[in-house]
Amino acid sequence: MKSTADKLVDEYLDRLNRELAGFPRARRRELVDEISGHIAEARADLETENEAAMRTLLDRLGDPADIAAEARERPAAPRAKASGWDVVALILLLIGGVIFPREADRDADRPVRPCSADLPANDRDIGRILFRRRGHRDHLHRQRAPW
Amino acid sequence: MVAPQDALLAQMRRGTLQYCVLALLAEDERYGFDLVRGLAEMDGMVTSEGTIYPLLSRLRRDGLVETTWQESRAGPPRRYYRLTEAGRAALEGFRLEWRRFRDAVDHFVERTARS
Repeated sequence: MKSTADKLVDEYLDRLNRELAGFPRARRRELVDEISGHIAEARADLETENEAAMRTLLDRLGDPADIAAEARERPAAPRAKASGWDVVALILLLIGGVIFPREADRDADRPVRPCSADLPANDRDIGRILFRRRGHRDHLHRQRAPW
Repeated sequence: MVAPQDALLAQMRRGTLQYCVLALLAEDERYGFDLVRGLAEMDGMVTSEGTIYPLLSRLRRDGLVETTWQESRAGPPRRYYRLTEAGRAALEGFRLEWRRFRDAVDHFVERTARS
């Protein structure tokens, strides 16, 4: 027969599994494995295992809904994979000037610096702006970024 | 209802906790439970211990930490987390930003401090 402590742990892990239902299998399993490992380690650390001690232990772990919320709230960092905008920005940055040449590029007499008369800004500039925005989002990762 | 002070702490923790994890792992590799207890030693760093695991999973997927399984004398094998080169660089980047930010905040709030 199962002890009360075992039942509490089972209940907790069941709830966690349900909260993580929307996640890919591998991620759900990783989280549930890690947390059941944590529970096993914490249990082994208990001086006396009783219901109160087990409830305290599970309280410290937190509500399974909070754990799932944390998993949802923090998607992979932007660095990990390029978004659609990053790809568009990169393409425009590289070849935007060829596809949409500025007047100034064709006419050497006009100033090369863009001015309000050149508005709307051509797409090469939009590419630069998108990259800057991305750079801002990656503020703390800047050290690793090649640009 | 959440007290304003609690909400503020939660936000500050949100921005900095992952770097505290990286900093702990910069000293030595650790398994999850050991890492969580290391963080919990400092008051206010961890409120729900279980939320560290989604964070670790994300750091791993981002390539900032890597994991290895190691046998344990106490029970089943443990998954150890270790800092990668990218993780070390991210920590160093944060350290520079953090010092600047901390100094900037101190500049304003400390000059009128009464204690």
